[in-house]
Amino acid sequence: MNWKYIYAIGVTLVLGAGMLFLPAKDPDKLGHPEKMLKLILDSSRYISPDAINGWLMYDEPGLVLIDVRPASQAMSFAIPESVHIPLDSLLSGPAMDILQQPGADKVFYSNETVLADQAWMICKRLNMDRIWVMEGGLNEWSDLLLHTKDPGEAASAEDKEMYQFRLAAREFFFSGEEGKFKARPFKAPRRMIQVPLENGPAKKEKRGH
Amino acid sequence: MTGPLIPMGFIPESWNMAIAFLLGVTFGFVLEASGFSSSRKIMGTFFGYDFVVMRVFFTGAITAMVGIIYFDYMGWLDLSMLYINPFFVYSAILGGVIMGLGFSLGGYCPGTSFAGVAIGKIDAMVFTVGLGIGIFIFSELFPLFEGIYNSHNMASATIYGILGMRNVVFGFLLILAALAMFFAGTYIEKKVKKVEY
Repeated sequence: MNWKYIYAIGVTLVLGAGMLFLPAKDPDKLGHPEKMLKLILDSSRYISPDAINGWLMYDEPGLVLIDVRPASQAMSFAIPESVHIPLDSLLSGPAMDILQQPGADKVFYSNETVLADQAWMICKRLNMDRIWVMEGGLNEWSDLLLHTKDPGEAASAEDKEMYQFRLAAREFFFSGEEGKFKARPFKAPRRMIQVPLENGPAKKEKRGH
Repeated sequence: MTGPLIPMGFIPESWNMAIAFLLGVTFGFVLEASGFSSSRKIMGTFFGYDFVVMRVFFTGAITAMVGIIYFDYMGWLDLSMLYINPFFVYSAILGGVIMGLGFSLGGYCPGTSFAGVAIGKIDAMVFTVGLGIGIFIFSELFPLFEGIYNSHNMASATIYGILGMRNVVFGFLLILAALAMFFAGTYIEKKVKKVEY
């Protein structure tokens, strides 16, 4: 056998065996305040409402949109197909089943980003992967859809395309006319998980509309 | 600076297509330079007289895998930020069977057929026309296939996740499997009658 092949095989085996001795990621590595601060300051956890609308409209797999507002607010209006897990129920069993789905992207939203950021922080502290926050929250989401403005003839092709996309998204999420928009109903019964922390471990999950 | 560079915002998203174009050109060049524009070379894997295709692709896969694992350890790459294609069980199996049939009948996969077209291979041109017809038929009949296409979504599942083992253990086993296949391929090549092309 050519010595080059022997050398390549040797290097591959050494690197491969070396991988086995790499330390597993420390589940508590986020505990250090400096690291937590860096994570808080890093804005890469935010996903734009337009990107989320695109995922929902094209039924992209692997997206779990999570409404972390209190039930009183979540019952009055929510983004279609989102799961309701109020912040106080975030650590319950059914909520954990959702949050720990392998490979799924979990996106939190609240009215602004305060509650969603708190939910993100708790999950990050639990070393969960693929968790995100909707940028600007529900306020920005609804503002972009309901108050989107025609950029005019002089606008760039990109702006015009975005305007058309938002009109299509508005049509997708709302019915009715300008000033009288009404949210379209959920396709399936909405998943609502309400097991506040003080009530102990979760046992049941509610389903509502 | 931690990768991946585009999702982490170090390179603007608008560069996506430009980078994809450059990578595509480089990939095509490497395919051609490795001899993958020849359908006979590719068919060698099926008939046992040439296993270069298997060696090149497996080498590429394990090199990338080892690199990603070490980059993650060094903190140069955030593994959780890498996009993993969703795994649709049935469509992956069905697509694999159809692709395998097309591969063994035509002697090309989509990428190598374009490498063949680039150097004027007539069989590659015929193959790409067939490829276009196949895409057209699939697109037109998509509503018929949509159910199976989207069924059994396992999201971004990984083999090591399903098996419940650490990614590095699976990686090492894959390296051993690749080396075993390299030796097996060489052994079969020696036993099978040499084909000149």
